[in-house]
Amino acid sequence: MAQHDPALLSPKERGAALLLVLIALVGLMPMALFLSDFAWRRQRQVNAMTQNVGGQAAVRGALDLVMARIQSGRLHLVGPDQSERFELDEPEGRPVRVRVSRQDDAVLGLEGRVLAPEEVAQVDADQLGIDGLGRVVRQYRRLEVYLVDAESPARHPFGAVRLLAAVVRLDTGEVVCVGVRYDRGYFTTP
Amino acid sequence: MLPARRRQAGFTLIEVMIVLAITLLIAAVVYRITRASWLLYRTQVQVTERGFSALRAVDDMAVEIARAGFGLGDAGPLFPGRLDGTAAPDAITVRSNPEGIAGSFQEDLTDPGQLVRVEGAELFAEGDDVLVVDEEKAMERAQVVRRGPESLGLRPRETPDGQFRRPFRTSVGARVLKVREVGFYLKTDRTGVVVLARKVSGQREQTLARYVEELRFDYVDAESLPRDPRSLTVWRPEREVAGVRITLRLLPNPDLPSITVPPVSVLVSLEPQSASIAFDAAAYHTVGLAGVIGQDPASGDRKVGMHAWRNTIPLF
Repeated sequence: MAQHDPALLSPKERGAALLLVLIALVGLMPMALFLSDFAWRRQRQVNAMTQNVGGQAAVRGALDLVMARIQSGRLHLVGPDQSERFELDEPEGRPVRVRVSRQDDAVLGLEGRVLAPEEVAQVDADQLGIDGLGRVVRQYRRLEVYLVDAESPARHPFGAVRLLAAVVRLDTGEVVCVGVRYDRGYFTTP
Repeated sequence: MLPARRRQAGFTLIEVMIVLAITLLIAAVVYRITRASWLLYRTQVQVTERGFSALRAVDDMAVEIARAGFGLGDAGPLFPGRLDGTAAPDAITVRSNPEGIAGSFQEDLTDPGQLVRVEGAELFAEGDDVLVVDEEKAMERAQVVRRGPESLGLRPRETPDGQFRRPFRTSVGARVLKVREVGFYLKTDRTGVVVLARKVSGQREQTLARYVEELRFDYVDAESLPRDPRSLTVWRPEREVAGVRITLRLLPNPDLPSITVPPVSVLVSLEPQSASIAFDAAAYHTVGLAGVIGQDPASGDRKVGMHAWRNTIPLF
């Protein structure tokens, strides 16, 4: 004859045990979830912040690259209405989006003034002179002006890092940066 | 009959004590686990809050310092001190001109409040903070107190007698630049805690981090060699300073478990905000040039505006 083992819990006790487990779950689970969520959220913020600081270095690197390309002629924009876009891949897989646009050329006068467009047509930008010490001095210098816009995209909970830079190519071919601004926030793709 | 009566009689003392002992044991284990979890949670809060506050504060300062001097040309981008003009090693004031608003004097500025003709005066408004500079690298903080047709009235912000330290003459290319100043400094708040504060001129003060033990700014040259901050004069920060090392050390929050908070230190390079354009081979005749990125009001496109000034007096 088969012998039945006595049940560990009677049907009434089984219900009470189930109730106890449910109460424990209801009471402890939210606290456990809250604690783990809080810890992970903070940790993610710190990680994202660290990466965001890295984003600033990445967009600065993009500016150096653009200046080198303009100087070498690899990036050549012939008119003020032209622009070029490209992406730089970062080792962590976060690309830096770069847009370079050519602005209106500027003519700089020796008296320390940027000539207005209507004045430019009336001057000979190649005019030379002799200073009091007999040196050859230019009266004007023509500048190609470029606007560089490099953006490292947003990563929650921090916004994107965007660099805006004014770059000038002199008539000698030399490329210099004359202004850099960093912005933080969520931007649309340039 | 006997087993039924015994069941009704309840548990024996031994049974109750065994159950009680097991219950106490379980309660003790649960208490220890809960206490350890709570301590871990509070420590984690402390570590992340301290670390996050430090990173965020340093990053905020780094962004401002990196764009110091934007739109100002050769005017001083940094002041190693507070917004009120007092020098301090644990404070920094960063200047820029984000809108690129500049004007050149058409007559000499000698007296505070006098209306002087300024080319570009229409770009300024009453109450604007400005820098008055010239080709001899003189610089003075001032405020626009009056605005007339093509003219401005300026009052110095620093001198106790309300007079300009020296006249600004058109013969040495005197010009006026709108300035945005951001100050980072330590202060004690109402609860007696030392905090790192940020203040933009014309805006409310913000607290970046609490329980600050140390905030230090080291000024380094192009070779990253340290420079004595005292070598930076109040009105004429030396041009060869190439970067600022920020060090921020926070104390643990006394209301949370004790931890060691490592300091955060970041070296921020000063970005080039202007260039000297040579007009002869020996670069004896040069013109300063700064680019400002603004928005074209007609098209909404971003445009580069130029701000130029004479570095030397031409001999033509």
